[in-house]
Amino acid sequence: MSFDPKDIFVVIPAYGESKVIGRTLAPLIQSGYQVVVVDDGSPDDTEAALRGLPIYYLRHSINLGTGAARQTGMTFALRKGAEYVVHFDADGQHDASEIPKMIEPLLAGRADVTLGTRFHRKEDIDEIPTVRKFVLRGAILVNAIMTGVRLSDAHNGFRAFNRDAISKIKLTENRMAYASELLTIIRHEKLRIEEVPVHIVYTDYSTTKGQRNMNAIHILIDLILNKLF
Amino acid sequence: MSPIKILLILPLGAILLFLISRLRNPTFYRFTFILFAIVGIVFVMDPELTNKLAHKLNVSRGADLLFYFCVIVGFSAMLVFYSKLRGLEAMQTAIIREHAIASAKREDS
Repeated sequence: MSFDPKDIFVVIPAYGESKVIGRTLAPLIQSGYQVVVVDDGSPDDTEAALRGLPIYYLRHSINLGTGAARQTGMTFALRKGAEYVVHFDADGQHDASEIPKMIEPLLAGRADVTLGTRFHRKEDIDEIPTVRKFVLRGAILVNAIMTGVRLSDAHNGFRAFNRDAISKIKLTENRMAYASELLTIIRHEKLRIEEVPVHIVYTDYSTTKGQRNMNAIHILIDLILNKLF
Repeated sequence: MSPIKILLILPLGAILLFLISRLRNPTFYRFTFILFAIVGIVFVMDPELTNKLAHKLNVSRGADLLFYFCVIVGFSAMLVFYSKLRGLEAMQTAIIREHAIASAKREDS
Protein backbone atom coordinates (compact mmCIF):
# COMPACT_ATOMS: atom_id res chain seq x y z
CA MET A 1 0.00 0.00 0.00
CA SER A 2 1.53 3.32 -1.05
CA PHE A 3 1.70 6.50 0.99
CA ASP A 4 3.21 9.94 0.80
CA PRO A 5 6.05 10.17 3.34
CA LYS A 6 5.24 13.87 3.73
CA ASP A 7 2.00 12.83 5.51
CA ILE A 8 4.01 11.00 8.15
CA PHE A 9 5.46 12.98 11.05
CA VAL A 10 8.14 11.09 12.93
CA VAL A 11 8.29 12.43 16.49
CA ILE A 12 11.64 11.97 18.21
CA PRO A 13 12.14 13.04 21.82
CA ALA A 14 15.79 13.80 22.52
CA TYR A 15 17.67 14.37 25.74
CA GLY A 16 21.44 14.50 25.56
CA GLU A 17 21.61 12.57 22.27
CA SER A 18 23.97 14.85 20.35
CA LYS A 19 26.45 12.01 19.70
CA VAL A 20 24.01 9.69 17.92
CA ILE A 21 21.01 11.71 16.77
CA GLY A 22 22.52 12.65 13.37
CA ARG A 23 22.96 8.95 12.55
CA THR A 24 19.39 8.18 13.70
CA LEU A 25 17.87 10.94 11.59
CA ALA A 26 19.77 10.28 8.33
CA PRO A 27 17.58 7.40 7.03
CA LEU A 28 14.39 9.19 8.12
CA ILE A 29 15.33 12.35 6.21
CA GLN A 30 16.41 10.26 3.21
CA SER A 31 13.00 8.55 3.16
CA GLY A 32 11.25 11.93 3.02
CA TYR A 33 9.41 11.78 6.34
CA GLN A 34 8.59 14.94 8.27
CA VAL A 35 10.97 14.68 11.18
CA VAL A 36 10.06 16.45 14.44
CA VAL A 37 12.80 16.47 17.07
CA VAL A 38 11.68 17.60 20.52
CA ASP A 39 14.81 18.54 22.46
CA ASP A 40 13.75 18.00 26.06
CA GLY A 41 16.02 20.62 27.59
CA SER A 42 19.23 18.79 26.69
CA PRO A 43 22.32 20.01 28.53
CA ASP A 44 24.55 19.02 25.57
CA ASP A 45 24.80 20.56 22.09
CA THR A 46 21.90 18.63 20.53
CA GLU A 47 20.74 21.75 18.69
CA ALA A 48 24.18 22.21 17.11
CA ALA A 49 24.20 18.55 16.02
CA LEU A 50 20.94 19.15 14.14
CA ARG A 51 21.83 22.45 12.52
CA GLY A 52 21.25 22.53 8.76
CA LEU A 53 19.07 19.41 8.69
CA PRO A 54 15.63 19.64 7.04
CA ILE A 55 13.72 18.87 10.22
CA TYR A 56 11.43 20.61 12.69
CA TYR A 57 13.32 21.42 15.87
CA LEU A 58 11.39 22.14 19.06
CA ARG A 59 12.97 22.73 22.42
CA HIS A 60 11.59 22.49 25.94
CA SER A 61 13.24 25.25 27.95
CA ILE A 62 13.67 22.77 30.85
CA ASN A 63 13.73 18.99 30.99
CA LEU A 64 10.16 17.67 31.39
CA GLY A 65 10.48 14.00 30.45
CA THR A 66 9.97 11.72 27.49
CA GLY A 67 6.17 11.60 27.83
CA ALA A 68 5.92 15.39 27.75
CA ALA A 69 8.26 15.57 24.75
CA ARG A 70 6.19 13.03 22.80
CA GLN A 71 2.98 14.94 23.54
CA THR A 72 4.62 18.20 22.43
CA GLY A 73 5.65 16.52 19.17
CA MET A 74 2.16 15.07 18.61
CA THR A 75 0.42 18.39 19.31
CA PHE A 76 2.80 20.10 16.89
CA ALA A 77 2.27 17.44 14.20
CA LEU A 78 -1.50 17.66 14.59
CA ARG A 79 -1.42 21.44 14.11
CA LYS A 80 0.78 20.95 11.03
CA GLY A 81 -1.90 18.68 9.52
CA ALA A 82 -0.17 15.32 10.02
CA GLU A 83 -2.14 12.30 8.81
CA TYR A 84 0.08 9.89 10.72
CA VAL A 85 2.52 10.19 13.61
CA VAL A 86 5.28 7.72 14.40
CA HIS A 87 7.04 7.55 17.78
CA PHE A 88 10.70 6.88 17.20
CA ASP A 89 13.62 6.88 19.67
CA ALA A 90 16.66 9.10 19.20
CA ASP A 91 19.24 6.60 20.44
CA GLY A 92 19.24 4.45 17.31
CA GLN A 93 17.40 1.43 18.73
CA HIS A 94 14.67 1.59 16.04
CA ASP A 95 14.95 0.81 12.35
CA ALA A 96 13.57 3.48 9.98
CA SER A 97 12.94 0.85 7.28
CA GLU A 98 10.24 -0.66 9.53
CA ILE A 99 8.06 2.47 9.45
CA PRO A 100 6.03 1.39 6.35
CA LYS A 101 5.21 -1.85 8.17
CA MET A 102 4.00 0.14 11.19
CA ILE A 103 1.87 2.41 8.99
CA GLU A 104 0.32 -0.34 6.84
CA PRO A 105 -2.48 -1.36 9.30
CA LEU A 106 -3.42 2.34 9.63
CA LEU A 107 -3.52 2.84 5.85
CA ALA A 108 -5.61 -0.30 5.44
CA GLY A 109 -8.03 1.03 8.06
CA ARG A 110 -7.58 -2.00 10.34
CA ALA A 111 -6.17 -0.03 13.26
CA ASP A 112 -5.91 3.47 14.71
CA VAL A 113 -2.70 2.71 16.59
CA THR A 114 0.09 0.24 15.91
CA LEU A 115 2.48 -0.81 18.65
CA GLY A 116 5.85 -2.38 18.00
CA THR A 117 6.51 -5.69 19.71
CA ARG A 118 9.71 -7.61 20.40
CA PHE A 119 7.86 -10.77 21.39
CA HIS A 120 6.31 -11.97 18.11
CA ARG A 121 9.40 -13.36 16.38
CA LYS A 122 11.87 -15.78 17.88
CA GLU A 123 14.88 -13.94 16.44
CA ASP A 124 13.75 -10.68 18.15
CA ILE A 125 13.11 -12.43 21.49
CA ASP A 126 16.56 -14.05 21.37
CA GLU A 127 18.20 -10.63 21.09
CA ILE A 128 16.66 -9.24 24.28
CA PRO A 129 19.13 -9.42 27.18
CA THR A 130 17.98 -12.02 29.76
CA VAL A 131 17.46 -9.64 32.69
CA ARG A 132 15.59 -7.23 30.47
CA LYS A 133 13.38 -10.04 29.18
CA PHE A 134 12.45 -10.87 32.79
CA VAL A 135 11.71 -7.20 33.62
CA LEU A 136 9.64 -6.80 30.46
CA ARG A 137 7.54 -9.89 31.25
CA GLY A 138 6.76 -8.34 34.64
CA ALA A 139 5.96 -4.98 33.03
CA ILE A 140 3.61 -6.68 30.54
CA LEU A 141 1.68 -8.21 33.45
CA VAL A 142 1.59 -4.95 35.46
CA ASN A 143 0.43 -3.04 32.37
CA ALA A 144 -2.36 -5.53 31.76
CA ILE A 145 -3.56 -5.21 35.37
CA MET A 146 -3.26 -1.42 35.57
CA THR A 147 -4.56 -0.50 32.10
CA GLY A 148 -6.75 -3.43 31.12
CA VAL A 149 -4.88 -3.80 27.81
CA ARG A 150 -3.06 -7.07 27.32
CA LEU A 151 -0.13 -6.83 24.92
CA SER A 152 2.84 -9.01 24.10
CA ASP A 153 5.34 -6.19 24.82
CA ALA A 154 5.63 -3.27 27.24
CA HIS A 155 7.25 0.13 26.89
CA ASN A 156 8.26 -0.39 23.29
CA GLY A 157 8.76 3.17 22.05
CA PHE A 158 8.08 2.34 18.37
CA ARG A 159 4.43 3.24 17.65
CA ALA A 160 2.28 4.76 14.93
CA PHE A 161 -1.02 6.65 15.11
CA ASN A 162 -3.58 7.90 12.63
CA ARG A 163 -4.98 11.43 12.86
CA ASP A 164 -8.06 10.33 14.77
CA ALA A 165 -5.89 8.74 17.45
CA ILE A 166 -3.52 11.71 17.68
CA SER A 167 -6.42 14.09 18.24
CA LYS A 168 -7.78 11.92 21.07
CA ILE A 169 -4.51 11.28 22.89
CA LYS A 170 -3.56 13.86 25.51
CA LEU A 171 -0.69 12.56 27.61
CA THR A 172 -0.42 14.06 31.09
CA GLU A 173 2.34 11.77 32.35
CA ASN A 174 5.56 13.65 31.68
CA ARG A 175 7.96 10.82 32.41
CA MET A 176 8.19 7.11 31.60
CA ALA A 177 4.71 6.29 32.94
CA TYR A 178 3.28 7.93 29.80
CA ALA A 179 3.48 4.52 28.10
CA SER A 180 0.94 2.99 30.48
CA GLU A 181 -1.20 6.12 30.40
CA LEU A 182 -1.24 5.81 26.61
CA LEU A 183 -2.74 2.33 26.87
CA THR A 184 -5.39 3.57 29.30
CA ILE A 185 -6.35 6.32 26.82
CA ILE A 186 -6.40 3.84 23.93
CA ARG A 187 -8.79 1.64 25.89
CA HIS A 188 -10.92 4.56 27.08
CA GLU A 189 -11.21 6.04 23.57
CA LYS A 190 -11.86 2.58 22.07
CA LEU A 191 -9.01 3.00 19.58
CA ARG A 192 -8.22 -0.10 17.51
CA ILE A 193 -4.73 -1.45 18.07
CA GLU A 194 -2.52 -3.88 16.21
CA GLU A 195 0.86 -5.14 17.32
CA VAL A 196 3.60 -5.17 14.68
CA PRO A 197 6.82 -7.17 15.09
CA VAL A 198 9.83 -4.84 15.17
CA HIS A 199 13.53 -5.29 15.64
CA ILE A 200 15.15 -3.41 18.54
CA VAL A 201 18.87 -2.80 18.44
CA TYR A 202 20.48 -3.18 21.87
CA THR A 203 23.75 -1.31 22.01
CA ASP A 204 25.88 -0.34 25.02
CA TYR A 205 24.84 3.25 24.37
CA SER A 206 21.08 2.63 24.28
CA THR A 207 21.21 0.32 27.29
CA THR A 208 22.99 2.97 29.35
CA LYS A 209 20.81 5.80 28.09
CA GLY A 210 17.23 4.71 28.06
CA GLN A 211 16.73 1.03 28.55
CA ARG A 212 17.85 0.70 32.16
CA ASN A 213 16.04 -1.95 34.13
CA MET A 214 15.67 0.44 37.08
CA ASN A 215 13.29 2.45 34.89
CA ALA A 216 10.73 -0.32 35.39
CA ILE A 217 10.67 0.37 39.14
CA HIS A 218 10.25 4.12 38.59
CA ILE A 219 7.45 3.47 36.11
CA LEU A 220 5.65 1.23 38.60
CA ILE A 221 5.88 3.87 41.38
CA ASP A 222 4.63 6.57 38.96
CA LEU A 223 1.76 4.34 37.91
CA ILE A 224 0.61 3.67 41.47
CA LEU A 225 0.90 7.33 42.54
CA ASN A 226 -0.96 8.49 39.47
CA LYS A 227 -3.75 6.02 40.01
CA LEU A 228 -4.24 7.65 43.42
CA PHE A 229 -4.18 11.30 42.27
CA MET B 1 0.45 28.51 82.42
CA SER B 2 3.83 26.84 82.05
CA PRO B 3 6.47 28.25 79.63
CA ILE B 4 6.26 25.18 77.35
CA LYS B 5 2.53 25.73 76.92
CA ILE B 6 3.15 29.34 75.88
CA LEU B 7 5.91 28.25 73.47
CA LEU B 8 3.61 25.71 71.81
CA ILE B 9 0.46 27.82 71.75
CA LEU B 10 2.13 30.89 70.24
CA PRO B 11 3.06 29.29 66.86
CA LEU B 12 -0.20 27.36 66.73
CA GLY B 13 -2.13 30.55 67.41
CA ALA B 14 -0.12 32.38 64.74
CA ILE B 15 -0.92 29.66 62.18
CA LEU B 16 -4.57 29.84 63.17
CA LEU B 17 -4.68 33.62 62.70
CA PHE B 18 -2.88 33.34 59.37
CA LEU B 19 -5.33 30.72 58.09
CA ILE B 20 -8.36 32.70 59.27
CA SER B 21 -7.00 35.81 57.57
CA ARG B 22 -6.78 33.86 54.29
CA LEU B 23 -10.37 32.63 54.46
CA ARG B 24 -11.61 34.60 51.46
CA ASN B 25 -11.92 31.38 49.46
CA PRO B 26 -12.59 28.77 52.11
CA THR B 27 -11.69 25.29 51.03
CA PHE B 28 -11.91 21.95 52.69
CA TYR B 29 -8.19 21.58 53.34
CA ARG B 30 -7.92 25.04 54.89
CA PHE B 31 -10.71 24.27 57.35
CA THR B 32 -9.00 20.98 58.13
CA PHE B 33 -5.75 22.76 59.00
CA ILE B 34 -7.65 25.21 61.22
CA LEU B 35 -9.27 22.28 63.00
CA PHE B 36 -5.86 20.65 63.54
CA ALA B 37 -4.49 23.89 64.99
CA ILE B 38 -7.46 24.19 67.40
CA VAL B 39 -7.09 20.56 68.48
CA GLY B 40 -3.36 21.20 69.01
CA ILE B 41 -4.08 24.21 71.25
CA VAL B 42 -6.68 22.26 73.27
CA PHE B 43 -4.24 19.39 73.82
CA VAL B 44 -1.50 21.79 74.92
CA MET B 45 -3.89 23.53 77.36
CA ASP B 46 -5.16 20.30 78.83
CA PRO B 47 -2.63 17.47 78.35
CA GLU B 48 -4.71 15.17 80.56
CA LEU B 49 -7.39 15.26 77.85
CA THR B 50 -5.14 13.24 75.53
CA ASN B 51 -4.79 10.56 78.21
CA LYS B 52 -8.56 10.41 78.74
CA LEU B 53 -9.15 10.17 74.97
CA ALA B 54 -6.41 7.54 74.62
CA HIS B 55 -7.97 5.35 77.30
CA LYS B 56 -11.36 5.61 75.60
CA LEU B 57 -9.73 4.44 72.34
CA ASN B 58 -7.80 1.64 74.06
CA VAL B 59 -4.44 3.34 73.57
CA SER B 60 -2.16 3.13 76.62
CA ARG B 61 -0.90 6.76 76.69
CA GLY B 62 -2.01 10.15 75.41
CA ALA B 63 1.46 10.66 73.91
CA ASP B 64 1.01 7.56 71.76
CA LEU B 65 -2.37 8.78 70.58
CA LEU B 66 -0.83 12.13 69.62
CA PHE B 67 1.94 10.35 67.73
CA TYR B 68 -0.61 8.32 65.69
CA PHE B 69 -2.57 11.51 65.10
CA CYS B 70 0.55 13.30 63.85
CA VAL B 71 1.41 10.42 61.49
CA ILE B 72 -2.05 10.64 59.92
CA VAL B 73 -1.93 14.44 59.68
CA GLY B 74 1.60 14.38 58.24
CA PHE B 75 0.73 11.79 55.62
CA SER B 76 -2.49 13.61 54.67
CA ALA B 77 -0.58 16.88 54.28
CA MET B 78 1.97 15.12 52.09
CA LEU B 79 -0.78 13.81 49.81
CA VAL B 80 -2.41 17.23 49.55
CA PHE B 81 0.90 18.83 48.63
CA TYR B 82 1.74 16.07 46.13
CA SER B 83 -1.62 16.60 44.46
CA LYS B 84 -1.03 20.37 44.33
CA LEU B 85 2.46 19.78 42.93
CA ARG B 86 0.98 17.66 40.12
CA GLY B 87 -1.37 20.53 39.25
CA LEU B 88 1.51 22.98 39.12
CA GLU B 89 3.58 20.58 37.03
CA ALA B 90 0.72 20.26 34.52
CA MET B 91 0.50 24.04 34.27
CA GLN B 92 4.27 24.37 33.79
CA THR B 93 4.23 21.67 31.09
CA ALA B 94 1.44 23.42 29.17
CA ILE B 95 3.35 26.72 29.18
CA ILE B 96 6.66 25.15 28.11
CA ARG B 97 4.88 23.10 25.40
CA GLU B 98 3.18 26.13 23.87
CA HIS B 99 6.47 28.03 23.93
CA ALA B 100 8.30 25.12 22.23
CA ILE B 101 5.64 24.87 19.50
CA ALA B 102 5.55 28.62 18.92
CA SER B 103 9.36 28.72 18.56
CA ALA B 104 9.67 25.64 16.32
CA LYS B 105 12.50 25.97 13.79
CA ARG B 106 12.98 24.50 10.34
CA GLU B 107 16.13 25.42 8.49
CA ASP B 108 14.95 24.79 4.94
CA SER B 109 11.77 26.87 5.27
